[in-house]
Amino acid sequence: MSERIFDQLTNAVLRGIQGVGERLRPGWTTRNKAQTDEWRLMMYAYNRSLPGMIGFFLALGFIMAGLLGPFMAPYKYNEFLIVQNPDYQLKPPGAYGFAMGTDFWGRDLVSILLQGARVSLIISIITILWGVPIGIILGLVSGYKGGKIDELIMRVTDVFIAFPTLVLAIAFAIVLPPRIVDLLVASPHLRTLMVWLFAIEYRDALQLSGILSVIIAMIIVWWPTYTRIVRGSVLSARENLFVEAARALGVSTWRILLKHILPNIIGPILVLATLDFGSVMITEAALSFLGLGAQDPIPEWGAIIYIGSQWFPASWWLILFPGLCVFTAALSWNLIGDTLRDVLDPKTRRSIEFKVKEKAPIKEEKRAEVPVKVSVKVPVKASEESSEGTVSEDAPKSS
Amino acid sequence: MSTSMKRFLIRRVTTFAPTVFGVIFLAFIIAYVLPADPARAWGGGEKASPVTIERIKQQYHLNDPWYLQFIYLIHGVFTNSITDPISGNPIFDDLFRAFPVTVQLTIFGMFFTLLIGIPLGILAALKRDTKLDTAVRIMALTGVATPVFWLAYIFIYVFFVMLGWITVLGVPSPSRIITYIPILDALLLGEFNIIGDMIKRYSLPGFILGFLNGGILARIVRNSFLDAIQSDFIDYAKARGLHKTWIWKHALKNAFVPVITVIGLAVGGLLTGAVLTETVFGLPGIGRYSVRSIFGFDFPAIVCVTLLFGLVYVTVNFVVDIIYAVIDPRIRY
Amino acid sequence: MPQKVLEVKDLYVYFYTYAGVVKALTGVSFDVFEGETFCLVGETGCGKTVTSRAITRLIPSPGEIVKGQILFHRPNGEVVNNLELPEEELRKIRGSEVAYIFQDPTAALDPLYNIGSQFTETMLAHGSGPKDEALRKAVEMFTSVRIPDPEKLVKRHPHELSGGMKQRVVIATSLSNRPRLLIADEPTSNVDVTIQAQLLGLLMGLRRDFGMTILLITHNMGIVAEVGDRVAVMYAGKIAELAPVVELFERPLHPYTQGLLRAVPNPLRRIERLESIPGTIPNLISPPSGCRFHPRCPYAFDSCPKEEPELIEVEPDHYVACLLPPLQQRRKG
Repeated sequence: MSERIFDQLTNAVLRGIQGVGERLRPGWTTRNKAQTDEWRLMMYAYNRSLPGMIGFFLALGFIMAGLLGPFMAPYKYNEFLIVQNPDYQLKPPGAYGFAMGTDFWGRDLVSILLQGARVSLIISIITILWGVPIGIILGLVSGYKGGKIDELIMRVTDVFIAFPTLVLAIAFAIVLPPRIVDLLVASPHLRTLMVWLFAIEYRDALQLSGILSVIIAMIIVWWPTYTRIVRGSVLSARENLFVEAARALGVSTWRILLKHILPNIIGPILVLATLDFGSVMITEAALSFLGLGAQDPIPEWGAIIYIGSQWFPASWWLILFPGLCVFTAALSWNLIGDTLRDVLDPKTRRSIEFKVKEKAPIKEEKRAEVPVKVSVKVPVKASEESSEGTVSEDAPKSS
Repeated sequence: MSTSMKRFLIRRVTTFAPTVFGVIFLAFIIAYVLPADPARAWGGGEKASPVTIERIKQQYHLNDPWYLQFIYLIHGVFTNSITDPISGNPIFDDLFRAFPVTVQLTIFGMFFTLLIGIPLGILAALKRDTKLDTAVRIMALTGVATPVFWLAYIFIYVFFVMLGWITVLGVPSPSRIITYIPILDALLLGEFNIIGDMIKRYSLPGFILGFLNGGILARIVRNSFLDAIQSDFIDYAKARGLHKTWIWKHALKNAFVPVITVIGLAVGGLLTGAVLTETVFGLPGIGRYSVRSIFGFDFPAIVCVTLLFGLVYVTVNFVVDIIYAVIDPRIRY
Repeated sequence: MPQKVLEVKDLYVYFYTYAGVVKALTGVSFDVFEGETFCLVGETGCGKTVTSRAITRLIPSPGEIVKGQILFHRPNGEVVNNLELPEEELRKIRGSEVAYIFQDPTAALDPLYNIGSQFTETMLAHGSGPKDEALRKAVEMFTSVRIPDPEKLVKRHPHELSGGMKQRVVIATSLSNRPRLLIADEPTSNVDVTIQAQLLGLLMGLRRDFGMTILLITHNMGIVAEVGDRVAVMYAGKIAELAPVVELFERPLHPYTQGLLRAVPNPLRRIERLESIPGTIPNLISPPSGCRFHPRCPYAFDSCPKEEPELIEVEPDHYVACLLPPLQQRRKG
């Protein structure tokens, strides 16, 4: 069925990756054959999951809307049509040809939703791109080194986790804008970069201080969770015999961390990062709902809802549609993350795997005679408890 | 209490003190990092007179180096002599008026969360891999994806504007404060009409919180239940010919253990984080208080509120650990 | 003429999995006589555990007992077919007339309950009571399985004990109701060799004292030689050979049995290579046609892939399932 097409696409993508790897380092293909086959099986399993595919396409839609939306919107985000015709203010969907109605300044809701998509997309990407790696690095160091460094990092992490997420984010988001404005004023390059990223006009650049503060605030709030999880995973991965062997061989710490430990624990982290993409979007919408983040005229889904709440229930469309956007986008990432979790866990993947092997048998090519890689795939259970429970981390271990 | 239990408790307590201290310190740093002139903001913003500003600076030692400020702050906190520059009341009085509201909301929220989450989770486990199981899973995912404030407005529209079943104003309170838990006090005083008001006021926010968190709880209940049922000791129990009820007893107790942690965290989360729900529904709890104080640059209040949050978080974790240790003998080591 | 305790007739067990139908048992038949130690031997995956579980219908889904009879001679004289009994009757048999010991004692015991309660519940489930009487029995039983300090043990929890100790507890618990038949599934595979010897000695002593019959499942030929009276060698879901132990070791007739015995090196003789049976056990979803062993058999000839051999009595009480002409000719009657 349509699965065949997706499988072909998956194969094409994997071949592409192999091509790139081969060009960078000849022999890459044979060395990583097992790994690539594993990915292929995972992707095949993913292709057969209906929620996963729905999530994938929704997320794709969101990304497309974010990338192209501002350029394809009927009106620009700062076209205050109220200037043309005062009657355009707060019109419900359908009036005057505005598909979703207008806001307080007569801006077309469809257009500002598309611009908002861009803003959400960029904010989420930057937050995850910085927050997750910081968390991972700190977790790796803390888990592997142990001792005083571990104590220190865990104490700090505990303090951050003890703070309610939203409150902490709000605090930082309030406190930082003036400083960011200074930064933006001082550096035109930064301004140009931001303008390009967010697809806005140069004159609105200074309004980005709110957005940048929100991004920094969320990065600060997000890294502790990853540190905790990574540390936990490293603590158990560290006990593996192959790590001890690598140490005995004199392999440097960073190499061990990167090549042996990290690949084995990356599974649940990947799942969590995907799910967090959605959580970041919701938090960011909450922050803008409270008035932080994007300032006018740069639109933001949460801020639009706030405007709608002022005239609630009359201006229902200003609440319903932006909320629907946030919901759908966040849901798509959740669907993807959840399916990834199933696909990465060998036990749940098994049921799908068998069906796959019957339809498209993987050719078992003879493995090239290369020295056996020490990094063995360890099935790490990605269960919900491990990301939320404090007890599993702090319960006294007999060590 | 066995010695292992005692040692366990002492170990837990000693970990918490530094965390609470760290929380206050972090709050202080955030507040201190404030670039804007706090005294001016407290004095009324632009309109503040220089005299007021100077008085505020004196009262809060804002001209002293930061470590002295910190010490004055701690002292004020512990003697409740610290006054809110905006409301003029001792901060902890304000907090103790706001806290019961949040507790009330948490009670209603947990009620719905447990009501939705536990039965659905057990059902999903019993009927695994069926449509019901998938539905529960989707429900958990939608729960996480839904913005609280959006859903709140939709529900308010349906249940208040259209149906008029609930109220969105006011804080129904008992005539006397006994336990600081409003619904309990009303029950003790026999003021059932007040309880009715409370139900009308808190049900919808509680239901929304339950709806959002229930799915996640159901998922976790399902997983831990399945793990327990498929355990080897259940096999052995069957092989020994135990009655069905006794087999269930074993399974449930084992399944319950990880669920306790999650429920505890949920309680902690609701107590410290229902900011948006309180804002939308106009409930003057500590969530809303904390946001107000942050927006108002009211840093003594910020510090006190975060101290409260820290204490709540630490206490909830502590209680969860104790319950865990009571149920699961393996933990005490 | 010794009495029969168990008669397994033509047992078929299939597992309906995602990958296909796994034909775990196809036509297994054997009898167990009173007072003997009957061994089921074979490689991992040959079906010995499935057979043992099937005896009291403990096959979990997606497995199903498709065909066959399991006649159990109850202590009260009744002969029942376990596969047709109502659930409640079967429950009464489990744990009191037929008892199990599993391979992993850690997994068999519920970590949240103390040892004493797990023992007493086994007795209480089958009508013995009251509780303190059962506790007294517990101390008695623990003493007979040579556990030191049985009074203290009753209050302990599973994780406080070593592997060998836990297995003794499991033995005591399983024997608490003086079963007629004890099914021991690889009871010593998880403990080290010295404990293994102790446990085996214990089991044999208890068998003598309680007048039990033991069905022992193992992959270790040494244990079979040590304690077995009669033995059935299983391969790929069928019985390949069935004979008294001495007879089997002195004159193994099935090529598979011969391979198995050759694979165990004689510690007194020096050899150059370890002998093994070439190939691997077959896929039970699509097993080899005809005799399932033929792809690995050194004596396979043209009939082997075509015809499935039946288990026939070749010598008194010595049964083989093989098409080799010398065996077919020796067939009695």
